Amino acid sequence: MAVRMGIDIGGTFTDLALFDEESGHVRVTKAASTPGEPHRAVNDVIGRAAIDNGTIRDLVHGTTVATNALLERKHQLPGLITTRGFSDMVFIQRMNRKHHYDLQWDKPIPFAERRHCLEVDERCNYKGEIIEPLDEEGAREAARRLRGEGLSDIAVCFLFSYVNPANELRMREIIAEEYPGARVSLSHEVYPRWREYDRMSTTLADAFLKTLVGEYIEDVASGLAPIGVDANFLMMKSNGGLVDHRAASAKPVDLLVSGPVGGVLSALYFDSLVGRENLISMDMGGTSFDVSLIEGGEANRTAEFEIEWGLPVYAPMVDVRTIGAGGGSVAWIDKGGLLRVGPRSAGANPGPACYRRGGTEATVTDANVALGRINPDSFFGGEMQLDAAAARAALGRLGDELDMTPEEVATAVVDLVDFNMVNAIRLVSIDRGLDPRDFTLVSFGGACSLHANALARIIGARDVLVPVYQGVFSAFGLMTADMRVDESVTTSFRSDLVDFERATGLVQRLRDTALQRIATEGYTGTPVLEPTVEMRYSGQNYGTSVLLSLTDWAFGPENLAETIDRFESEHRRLYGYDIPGEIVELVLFTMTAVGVNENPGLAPLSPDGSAAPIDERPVYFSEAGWVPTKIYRREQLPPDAELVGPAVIEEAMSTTLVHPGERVDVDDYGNLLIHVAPT
Amino acid sequence: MTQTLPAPEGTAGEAPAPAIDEVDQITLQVANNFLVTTAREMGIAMRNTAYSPLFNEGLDFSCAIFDAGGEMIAQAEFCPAQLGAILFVVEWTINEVGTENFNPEDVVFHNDPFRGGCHLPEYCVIKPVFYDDELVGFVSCIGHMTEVGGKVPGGFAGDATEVFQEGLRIPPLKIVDRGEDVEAIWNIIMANVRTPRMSYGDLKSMIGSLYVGERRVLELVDKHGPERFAVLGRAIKDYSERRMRAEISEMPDGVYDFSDIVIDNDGVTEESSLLQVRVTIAGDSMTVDYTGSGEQRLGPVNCTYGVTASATYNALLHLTDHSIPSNHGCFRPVRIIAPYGTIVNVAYPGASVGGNSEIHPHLVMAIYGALADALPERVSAHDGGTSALVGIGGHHPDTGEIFANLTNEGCGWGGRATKDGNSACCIPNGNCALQPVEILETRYPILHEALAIHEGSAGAGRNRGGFGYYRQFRVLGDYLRVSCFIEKEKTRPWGLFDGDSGKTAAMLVQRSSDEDWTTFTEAFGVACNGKFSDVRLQAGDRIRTVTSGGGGYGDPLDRDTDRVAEDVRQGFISPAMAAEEYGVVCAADGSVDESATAALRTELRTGS
Repeated sequence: MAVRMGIDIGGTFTDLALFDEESGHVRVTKAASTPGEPHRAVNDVIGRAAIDNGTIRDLVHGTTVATNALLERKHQLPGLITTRGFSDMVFIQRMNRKHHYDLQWDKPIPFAERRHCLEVDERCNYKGEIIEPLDEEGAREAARRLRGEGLSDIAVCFLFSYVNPANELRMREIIAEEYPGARVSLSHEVYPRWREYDRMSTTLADAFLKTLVGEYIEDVASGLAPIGVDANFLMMKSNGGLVDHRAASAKPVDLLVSGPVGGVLSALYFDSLVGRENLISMDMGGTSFDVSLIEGGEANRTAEFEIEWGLPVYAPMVDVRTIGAGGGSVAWIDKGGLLRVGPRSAGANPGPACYRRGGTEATVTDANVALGRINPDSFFGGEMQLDAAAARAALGRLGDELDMTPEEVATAVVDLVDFNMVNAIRLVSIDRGLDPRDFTLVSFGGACSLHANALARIIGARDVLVPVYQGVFSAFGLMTADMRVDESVTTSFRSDLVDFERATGLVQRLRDTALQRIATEGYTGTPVLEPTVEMRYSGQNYGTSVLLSLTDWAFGPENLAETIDRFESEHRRLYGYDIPGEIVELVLFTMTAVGVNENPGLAPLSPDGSAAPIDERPVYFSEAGWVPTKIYRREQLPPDAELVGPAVIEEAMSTTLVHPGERVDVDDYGNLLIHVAPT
Repeated sequence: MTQTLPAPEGTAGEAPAPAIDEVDQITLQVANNFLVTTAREMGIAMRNTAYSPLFNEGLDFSCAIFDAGGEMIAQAEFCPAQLGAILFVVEWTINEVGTENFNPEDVVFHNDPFRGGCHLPEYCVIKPVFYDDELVGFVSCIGHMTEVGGKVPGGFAGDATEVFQEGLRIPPLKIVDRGEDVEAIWNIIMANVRTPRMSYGDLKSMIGSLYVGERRVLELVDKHGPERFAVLGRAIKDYSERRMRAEISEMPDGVYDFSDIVIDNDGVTEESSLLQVRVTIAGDSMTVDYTGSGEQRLGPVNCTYGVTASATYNALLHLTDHSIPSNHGCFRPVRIIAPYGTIVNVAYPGASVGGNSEIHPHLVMAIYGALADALPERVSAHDGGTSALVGIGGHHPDTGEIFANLTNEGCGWGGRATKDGNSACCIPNGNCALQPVEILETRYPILHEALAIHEGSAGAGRNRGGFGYYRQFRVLGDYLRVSCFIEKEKTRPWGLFDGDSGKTAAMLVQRSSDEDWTTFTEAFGVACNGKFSDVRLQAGDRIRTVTSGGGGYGDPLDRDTDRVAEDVRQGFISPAMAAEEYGVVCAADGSVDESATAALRTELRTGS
């Protein structure tokens, strides 16, 4: 039982990476995704890994199912039950608008229909006193109405439930009695913080995902036992930590960027390996392009995910931006006669025209095949024979309408998808005032390294890192993840009125709960504990988190003084001032427990490799036309090899395109560093 | 009255401004976005540290960055109403203080509406940014302070007749001198406001945002050097000017007039006022002339010149590409004429607190009205036209502390050429966020009973207006002092191209001793129901603030029956209203009687 395995399910492929702690070996593979029945792809890809399934100890899964569901909105909207008088909050929202000066802006449509937003009599005040008990008959009636409508996903959001959840808890019991089988999201459990709209919006998103994500995880889990897998089945959370799959179903909003986070963790791993601290990580697969930014060795983080502007979901997460651009992105002609690419993807089925699975539309992959960049005979490790003629025919059909040759269409398709991806890179860099010229691009995913150097040229980055395992990079990152639980409790201590005994009790309870949870989730080592407290000056509405000072797990007056010092110096650092002597509120205690897992090691390249090309074929470059281009096999390259473009470097699961004049350095582990701009 | 400051030594003055081509595209965009992000970071710092809900939840403030000549080079998306003010206030401050008198680590404070400001509650702090010993620019924050002293808690005396009643007025003064707080100024301010602890926290927070901005601006200066930084600033302004001129060039040349009745009353008398505007488009520039507008009113409904300029720029920015970076360059093509002593340019010492909040949007709408025939695809019908400001104050029964708060509301937007107006949205002069119920109740002794859509309030149209909403709360403490400033209780938001007017707003009260809801005039004898000061409510009394719907765009009888039916199905309008206003016969579940609808629509068409 010494194998850690990461499985990343994307729109097109399901990737696997595993690390055997006993032998120190890393193994990777991939299989076609099976949307709707994810367990089939999971079982398929585990089978391809060809190991004794009984040795798998941890199976870590990352998925895009939650994000895709929120973005596509194809699923039934949930019902909502609120305090009497407040169900329209989801329509009133925050009252402000996205852009100052855009009169054509449309307020977002909430995740509930107004006729399904029901109210019950109940009320709690800010002190947590129930000033109006829950009207049980009205509550039953609301549950029955939603049952009548067949809305089995239900969000409950009562005012001040984060102070006293009694009425929300009772509401769940009543729903269970009146509507057995309904899945309920209670706002105080999903996001136990003040600001009713933010909590309501987050709770609605959670309810929207509940059945969908629950069934998805159950489907994957149900497939494991039959193939002899008896592992800890863990889900990657958006915050970069792992959670037991059963707990994940209970709170699906924590999984929004579950899939792409693996890639960011991988980038961080390679980042320390190659000693570069400022990276833009780019993942282009069959369906989507994910980009995120690492500055000073830290991934950019956010607590707020916006389904669209004004529809917030609050959950801690790594900041990953996604657009619909991948190898499967379909080229089409719009009503104005212009060639467009994406965001729709041909996916795995029918897939690009060259797959010959019934797809007839030209895709980005077809364009790369037609331009000689992808070798039709060695795609997907040689397992899939691509049909270059079918690719050219599909492009030719667009060319007939546009009066362009297939090569011209293919070049235009590549340029357009590059342009879309550059815009996504801008979102995380230029739009935040960061100059992409100060960053190294990290390229991974099945399709990215065909485009990465062109992106670097457009955006002005000097070099591109193509790490080993780039084809299954996110899955690799999943294996590097640590277990992580965050336990929090909202408090309302004022610095002049702290009950130290109570505070100590709270902290110790948090510690015990965190330790218990991480053990339940399968961690057997000794976790690292970090107690923090969110503080603010009495009157401020937003807090600043600092490390909580404790002495032997007790919180006394000296600890308070030290913690206030930390708060004030952090306040000075962030905002340039502090207010000595002002009352400080201690708003939220958090205990983070991290169960550190051993990272996989990389095997150094064999020194017996050869930098000689294995082949030569014509490849089309827009700046140079058809050029005889040397083809290299990545696995054969020796350490310290240097290549000069034009070149194509092939490996089992992806292909790297090197433009004329670009220089490639190979490091000891086989990572490629491509110098795009002359240095 | 577009006026450019003389360029400071060493930045301009030499030869013509450098062409944009002198700065490469990427550098220009990176620098512009860096500055805008910096302004945004300043705002986020303020949100995170401020004390009053109007700041930390409502976001009623703006942060901006200026070049060494005092011209704005970047602004973040917080509150557009302050747009003009921040331009003029900074310009005024630099002139009055004198460039040579700024030292590193100075902060200048200013809130005088008669020195370039918009209204007295708008506090402004300005910090010069020095790179080594060289002045390279200014960072500034302007924010609507909740409590500013004067006649009522929360700063909105609906019946004020002079600026002196509106709060403590302070000309440009150093509040921080070479890094040291000037205690005398702080003491004077804090002695004149009701909530010194909160006001101190808010003012510290505003000044804190300047440090955040300064630090980031210096990073950019450090990267490019001060000379290059000045070139970048000019290139950014020139870029915006070029884009704005291109936008105006696309508008058909002509002279466009519009007039409107813009106030329900002035807080002192029930008289309304005329707003007259003439927009002249000539090539790539425009003139907006308010000559003919009504004389200055006794009550606080007047606009300072800063408000009128803000409103004019605001309308222009709404009718052009919103992606043009908002900076000084945008406004070079615009000339504004606003006669002194009228409601669009108040003469000293007239009252003006409401002009910024409630008259500004009417100026914007008048410009839409004027340009409706020229730009029918871009304008909208009249929006709900009010921010429905309600100030509350008193002693908190739990803590004994004196409190003051001001809330503002959204309303329906006007219908647009291709779609309905948004519901429950801030009008264009603000972009304030709703102050959450859970925060208001944690801070103040009130208990909300509803925050709900004002059903049926949208003006009917092919594309209807948006709906307003209402807020209802009960007083918990022994007493609550209430002031109010609301528009559109009488004048209705107009529709365009045969669209109907939106339904009116209302300010209502229910005494604990009474079953009925009444106006404040009926209950307390205030001169004007929507604009009054300092009414004292008791525990158990209730207030309901109802906001208006936007006007409709196009003939309601041309609206798709499906869209009318969907509004019925979701409870936004009643079946009776569907029949009456749209000629659509449908049941409460939205099922449409097609033949009855066809007959009714024919009847309504011929009838009208």
